[in-house]
Amino acid sequence: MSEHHEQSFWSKYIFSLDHKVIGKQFLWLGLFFVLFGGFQALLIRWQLAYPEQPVPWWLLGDILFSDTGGIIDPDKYNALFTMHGTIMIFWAITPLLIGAFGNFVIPLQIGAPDMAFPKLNMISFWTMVLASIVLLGSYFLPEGTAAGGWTSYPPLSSPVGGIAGEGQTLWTLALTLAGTSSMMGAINYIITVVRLRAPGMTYFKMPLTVWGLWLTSILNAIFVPVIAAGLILLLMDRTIGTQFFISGGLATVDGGDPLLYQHVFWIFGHPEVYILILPAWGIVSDLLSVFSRKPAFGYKVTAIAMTTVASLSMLVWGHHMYTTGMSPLLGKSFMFLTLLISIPSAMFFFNWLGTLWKGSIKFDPPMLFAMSVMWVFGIGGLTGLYNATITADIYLHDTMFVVGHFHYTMAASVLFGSFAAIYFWFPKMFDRKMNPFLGKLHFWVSFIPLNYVFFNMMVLGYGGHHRRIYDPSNYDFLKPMMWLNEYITWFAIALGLAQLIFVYNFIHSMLKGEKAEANPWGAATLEWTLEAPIPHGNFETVPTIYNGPHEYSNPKVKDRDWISQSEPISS
Amino acid sequence: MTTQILSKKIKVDEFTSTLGTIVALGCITMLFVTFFVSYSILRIQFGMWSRPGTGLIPITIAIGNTIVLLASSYTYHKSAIYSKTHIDLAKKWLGVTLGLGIVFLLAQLILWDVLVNAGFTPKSNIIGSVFYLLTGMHGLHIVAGVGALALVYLKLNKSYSDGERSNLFKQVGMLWHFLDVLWVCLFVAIFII
Repeated sequence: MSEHHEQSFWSKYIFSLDHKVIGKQFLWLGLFFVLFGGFQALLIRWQLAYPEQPVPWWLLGDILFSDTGGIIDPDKYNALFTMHGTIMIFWAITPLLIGAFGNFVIPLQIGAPDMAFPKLNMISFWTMVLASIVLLGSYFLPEGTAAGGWTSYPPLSSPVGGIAGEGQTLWTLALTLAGTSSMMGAINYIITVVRLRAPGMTYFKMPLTVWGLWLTSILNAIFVPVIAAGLILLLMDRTIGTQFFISGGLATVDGGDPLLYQHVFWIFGHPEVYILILPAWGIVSDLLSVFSRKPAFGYKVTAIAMTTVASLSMLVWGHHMYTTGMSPLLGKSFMFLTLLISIPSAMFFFNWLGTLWKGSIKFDPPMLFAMSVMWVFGIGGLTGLYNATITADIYLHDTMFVVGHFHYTMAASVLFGSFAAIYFWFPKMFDRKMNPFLGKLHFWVSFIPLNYVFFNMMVLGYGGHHRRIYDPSNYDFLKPMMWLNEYITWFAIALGLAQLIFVYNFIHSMLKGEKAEANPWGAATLEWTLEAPIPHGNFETVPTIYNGPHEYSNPKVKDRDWISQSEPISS
Repeated sequence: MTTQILSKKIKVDEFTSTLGTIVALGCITMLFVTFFVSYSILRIQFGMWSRPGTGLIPITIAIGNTIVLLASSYTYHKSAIYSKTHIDLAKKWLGVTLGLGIVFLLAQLILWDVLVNAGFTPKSNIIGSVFYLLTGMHGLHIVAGVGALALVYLKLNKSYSDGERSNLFKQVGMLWHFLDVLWVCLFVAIFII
């Protein structure tokens, strides 16, 4: 019956135009870099707990730092936290949530045969690969890789007075390429959602996952070009000798302005925070509904609140720069706008609670991770209020408090959101189930150490621990807190080891896991109506949409507690 | 059967392509908005700003180039109209557009050469840095635009269904006219004010 459309290995798995394959490619890329960046975090933690003591063999100390006898020297330490931040933000969680699940889920959930521009989609992935090669290539330079912090403020990133060598230059180039990849993805996602929704799939019938990813793409399309512009200026400073961001004693000609870089960086940088978190919010909103067997509470309000946050995020970049001596009036305006974000955030947060309220909750691994996002994002959001308030921020700026805060919001929320997504969509991606027991184990041994690590970072920061110092034991006022640094490190190592359970579960389930049925979770969205393997082109006949995305426990449906979006409810 | 039907090429209609082009041009706009804002901040802080280069040659080349690009938009428009009826005329006008694009790039290089020889380089001061940034980034986009024009020219030889041809003409046209308008903004920002 089925006459197979012959494709070579290359066009099927490598240069595929199928959004599902490209999604998986992004997934592999993201998972590789999560582990890579996570390992760097452990090395950073080792130095903070045991300054200038040799890194043990099981953290590869004698291989990585052979020339210093296993000790991380200050330059290498700078490179570690720079690349940890860069890789985790741009190479790990961006490809995971936006690249992998954006690609895999959007067309399936809106009933589209593929992305609007499949070729652009493929080019987007391979641009990201090119960016990765450039970034990793910087490790092989004699002067080492970039070391100016993930923000790379001039003059730290300037050719004079900053980081010497080509590592920082390659970093700038790699980030520009990664941004180009994001822009191409964004164009694709936006147009796909606008043009390729199945008949009946109105905007307010789209799953909230699609809402989150769509808003993310809009922010990406607007703001990634801004950082691209800043990076191009920085690249010119570093290569052809312009002095856009160099002033004062370092400059040979007048007119440069290092603060300009900070503005450009954060005009992009703050929306970037929401670029990363919006998909996680959307996924969590949907998953809470699936596993509570209830429609999402206040669906429209959640969608509108997320849109409001996305809009407000464009106007708050100055709260990263309170200590740069900006005008108090400007500072207060930024503070007001930043605090305003808590209103729409609280709206969808209470909607999440409303979804859970009186639901018949099933604690499957995706649900555990989705619920944990509520916890970690709750803490991250509330501590954000301290950073947003000028008076508190003057003290907390650039301390470990900020590190703890943004790891709660970006690292913990987004990573747990990704785990929720992986556990949830794994049966659709690989046609097999992940082991639920190992999933739950992975959750608990991740969740507890993670909170210990990031919460105590905030305690350290409140004690005055600066975020980028090499050796905290050099400071008298930090000496009494060294024991806390040590504990954080051991819990971070536990967190790292816990991910081995996930890696094992992922690979083992992919190869030998139990075969999954078409709809193992009893979910109502469109992707679960398709039998595996889903062909290139997805839907045999274009589905017609009758219901919202969260039709659970509808009393009109008799035999089961869910009904697909494409099945009419007979009354 | 099913697999084959499902995996056939997705037909992208003209409206979808147009929306995609609009978003892409929006990205380029944001890139140049950032450049222009940076320019204005640097210029306000610097105080004494002067036009790049002295004498008649630079401004003459710049004015000439503005005329060249405006003319190329016109010739492209002609070509797009003829593409529906007379392919050879469309090709002729498109060839002229392509030529004008290349003339523009060459003239920009001559302008750079004149200015560098006069001691006005990206390193000489912030005015130079901004000048070479803006013209360079615009020039790179023109290179891409000329590439797109060449692509249309090559595709004109093939038998293309009318829908696809008019779609291609429309998308590349939007890019080309956009780059034209961008140059006019650049010209005013650099050479007039």
